[in-house]
This record gives sequence, C-alpha cells and structure tokens, in this order.
Amino acid sequence: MASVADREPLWVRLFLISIAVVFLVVVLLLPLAAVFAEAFRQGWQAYTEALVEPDAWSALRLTLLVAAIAVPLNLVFGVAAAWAIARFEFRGKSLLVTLIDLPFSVSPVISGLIYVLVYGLHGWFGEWLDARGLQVIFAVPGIVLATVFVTFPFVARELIPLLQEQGSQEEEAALSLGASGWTMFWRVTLPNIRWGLLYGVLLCNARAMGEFGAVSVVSGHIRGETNTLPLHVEILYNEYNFVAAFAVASLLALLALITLVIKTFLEWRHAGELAAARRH
Amino acid sequence: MNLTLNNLSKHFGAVKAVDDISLSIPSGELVALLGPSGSGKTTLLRIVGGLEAADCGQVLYAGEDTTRWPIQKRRAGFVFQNYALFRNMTVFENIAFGLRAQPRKQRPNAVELKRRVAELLYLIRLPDLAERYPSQLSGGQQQRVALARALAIEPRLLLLDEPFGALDAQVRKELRRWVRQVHDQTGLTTLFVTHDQDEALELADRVVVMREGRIEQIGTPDEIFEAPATRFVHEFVGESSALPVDVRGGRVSYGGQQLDIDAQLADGPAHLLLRPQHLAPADTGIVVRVDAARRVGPRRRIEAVTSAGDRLECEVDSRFETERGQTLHLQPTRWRLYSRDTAGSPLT
Repeated sequence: MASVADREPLWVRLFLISIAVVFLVVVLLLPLAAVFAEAFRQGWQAYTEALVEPDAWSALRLTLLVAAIAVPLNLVFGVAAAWAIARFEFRGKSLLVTLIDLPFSVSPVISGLIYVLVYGLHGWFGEWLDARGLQVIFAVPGIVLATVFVTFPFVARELIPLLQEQGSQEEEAALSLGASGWTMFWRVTLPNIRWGLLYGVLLCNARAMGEFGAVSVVSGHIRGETNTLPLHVEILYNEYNFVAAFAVASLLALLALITLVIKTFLEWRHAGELAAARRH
Repeated sequence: MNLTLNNLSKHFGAVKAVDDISLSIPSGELVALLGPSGSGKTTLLRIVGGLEAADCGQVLYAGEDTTRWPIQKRRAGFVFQNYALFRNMTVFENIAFGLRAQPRKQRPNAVELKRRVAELLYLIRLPDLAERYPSQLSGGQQQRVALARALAIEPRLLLLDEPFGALDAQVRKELRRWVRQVHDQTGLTTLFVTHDQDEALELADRVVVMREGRIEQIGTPDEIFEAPATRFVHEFVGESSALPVDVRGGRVSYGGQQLDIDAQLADGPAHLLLRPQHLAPADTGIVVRVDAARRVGPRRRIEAVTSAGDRLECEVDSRFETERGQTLHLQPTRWRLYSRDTAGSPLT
C-alpha cells in the first residue's frame, strides 16, 4: 500500500532526503568525526599521553565523583517528587511542577551564579561559611550543588507522565491485600517504572558529566582541583593544545555515544513503558 | 461478617459524592449498589474498603468501628473495575501477593503457599495459567484472577467495583453465575457496584439504588422492580413512560379524562408511571395516536402519543396489528403513582 509520500515524483523525494542527510552530516556527523580525527592527529601515543596527564586524570576523577553524588541524589529526589505529583493533590502542586522545570528554562550560567550569590565569599552565607572554614564556591561542594540543580528535572520529568498514565489502582490493590507502603513501593511501583527510571538516570548522568555553564561559574577552574572534564577541554583548547583538548573531548563524546546506544536500546526493547514519557 | 454504615458523607470539592448514608448488611448477604454514574456508589464502596476516607460517619465491621483503621488491617477483598492485576507478576505471583504480604507470623511457608494458590486457581478454573502474565489473559480470565487474588487473603468481606463492566455479553453472563456460586460457597458478605439494573436484579439478594450520593431505595430485586419507591427508581430499573396526572378523591384523571385507576395518594398533581408490558389495547382507556409500531422479537412495540403530546410505549402480542396514525385506547393493567411535589419525583 503506497502512502501519500511515496507518490511524490522521484526528484522531490531525492531532494528532500538529500537536504536531511546533508544537514545531519554537516551539523552532527562531521563535528563528531572531527573530534576523533583531531584527537588522533598525532597518533595513539599522543592521545593516551593527553589522557594520563595528571590534570586530565584529576578532571576525569572529579567528573565521575560529581556524577556519583548528583545522580543518586536526583534519583531519590526525582522519584519522590514524581510520586508526590502523580499520586497526591496538594496546595502548591503546580508551583512544584514549575520549579522542577526551572533548571531547563534558566540559562546554566544563571544556575551557577545563584550559588555564587548565596554561598560565595560575598554572598548571603559567605562569611558564616568562611568563619567555619567551609568553602562551597570554587570547590567541589559548589560543583556538586550546581550539577544537582541543573540535572534535577531529568528523572522527575521522565516519571511523572509514566506514573500518571499507570494510575494508582495497582498500588491500591497492593495495600488492600495487606502490603505495607514499602512493600508496595518495592514490589509494585518500582518494577512498573524501572525502565523509565533507568532512562531518566541515563539522561541525568549524561548531563551531569557534560555540564559546562553552571559548573564553569562555580568551579574557579583550578587545575587538578576543581576542573571537570568539560572545563579541562576548554582550558586546553584556549592554550592551543588541540590534540589534548580533543583527546579529552573524545572521552565526553564517547560517553554521549554510549548513552545514545543504551537509550536507543531501551526505547526499542521497552517502547510500551516509555511511550507515556516520550509523548511530551 | 455483618457490615454497618453510619451517616457516611464524603465531599470532593463542592460535590457531595456520598451524602449521609446509613446502611446495614447482615452477614453473608450479596448486595448491589446500583445507580447511574456520579451517584456515589463507587465512592461508597471505596470508603467501605478503606481506599477513601469519609469526611464523617462510621464503617463498622462486625460491630467494630474501622473508620480509623489503616487499609491493611481491614482485610477487605477489593476487586477493581479494571482488575488492577500486577502487570509485572505472573498469575501465581498475583494470587500469592496477599499471602506473602502478611505479617511474618501468619505468613504461610512455601509449601502451604503453593497449595493455597493451587486451590484458588482451581476455584477460578484456570489451573494451567499460573505462569502467564496478565497481558496474556482475556478480560474474563483477568477478572477471575483478580477475584482469586482478593480471596487469597481470606477477606472479611468482598467488594467488587463494576465487576463485569468491561466484558462482552456472553462472558458477563457466565461470570455472573460464577460469582453467585463463589459467593454461595464462601458465604462472604459481598458488595458490588453496578450501573446495570439487570445485573443488580439478577445477582443480588438486596439492591441499594443510589442517586446523587443518597440512597433512593433499599429492597429485594422484586421489591425494587415491582414497587419502586420513587419515580427515579421506576425509570432507572426498567423501561417506563410517565404521564402527568391529577389525583382527586382517590380518582386519577389525565388531560380531563377520568382513568380507571384508583389512587392511594393525597390530592394534587402526580405522575403515573407505566411499563410497556403493563399497557393493553382495550375499548376504554387512555386515548393515543400510534406513532410507530415495530416488531421486537416475538412481541410488537407500539410508540404512541396522547392528545396532550405525552409519549407512551406499549408492548403487545405481535398478532395485534396497527399502523401509524391509528387511534387506540390503552388500558393500564399495572401502574405506579408518584406525587409530583415529593423529592425524587420531578425528573424529566
């Protein structure tokens, strides 16, 4: 059965397809290829040297540490917020929904700046923190805070429509059969949202490792101490150290590719359970 | 277990879903909550099961006030409208869920658990489907699994929300009979919600007709059908036509015409309610003009209009022949009169 699109003349079809392909190549594939091409320009050895260099190594460790703190936090926050929003009626619910979306609508630079204004040396709590020898801004806690803020919506946004679509009847059934709240959550709620949750965590993690703007404001760019991978790429690039910059960038690109592959696999394998979330 | 409801009320915003309902159900009775959508029947059922908290009033299980009990303590077997089977568990695991969720001391061991689930699978006549997932079952099978799951916890009473709502006619009929059978075997006090009067009248020992959060009538199926307490019940449980009439000194007149009907009703305006089966063509009676006459199975259905413009439906033997435009006299053989100014009467 021929669809309407199939009945267009051949040249129209080829023309439209070429536009799409050219666009994809120019905007996505070429830059991605360029990252790896530049990274390996001076061979495998230069590439590995750039990666094992102490500052790069420390940036990688910091990035992993920040993600290891921010992602579990947002996993818990996200599930809790999504559950509250999908299951209960309360005053201020629409405000909470708006707040969850805030990190998406605000420029990442602002997200960083608010923490400087609150916790920086000249900020509201700056003196109080300084007097106790606690440094938030230009230190790891600031980077974690900014990352948590920026990546907050991913898990919640993924789960809210999923929970709403599934309704509360299975949960009610579990309770009426004598299950405690915890049993209900672990045996009924969680299994029903697991793939959506994994999907949300994946996106959250990708953003946590790749975030630049907000982290850049609070980090202070201290080499070997408060540099994350994206910040390290920028520093190397500004120093005209292209091979090292692209080598480190290739790590991030690799992370993006792996995320995409798992994401595609999830969408293919568990389409039904993710459908609700992808409608928006 | 006998169930008593005292003055239950529940609001959703400005809407009174359940409005001061009191009801007493003896142990082992099968009761239908019948009403149109929005009549509060499902809300009432959810309050009884502990899924919803009433604004005020009490729910007594065997005389014990359960109003403040958590839902888990009530042990009410609830069967949801869309079954709400756990989609990530097999039929076996669904039925075993309530057994596994019991406090450690009461929890059956693995052998006992298997035996209990097998018993229930036998009861619902699906012994071979233990390892299937809910999505692999038909609607009727899901319904039976939902019932087995509720029965597994040895509930004190059984609550069914529109149990046959989503099933096709043939399966409905079978399941109705089967639910009646299960009820008679277990002797559980059972409440079920339905908007289908046939279902309520066929299945229940007693029917509670609800309207706008209030009880309109409580009675056996015969009482509800033969002696509806209000015009609303009359029209809800079966086909009816209504004529505005005047009652004066025990005589009933319609449009100035004296009808051969005696009334035990105070003087004043009233409604005369007639079922199609209770009107017969005769030499005297209400004068009507035939609007349409159609064969319905072995019977003939006549739609007629009185000179005042009210519509009447009448069912006669198919050998009775008539045609559009013909004038007939229809004599009521049975009827109900409802005073027009009491609550529940003016309904158009």
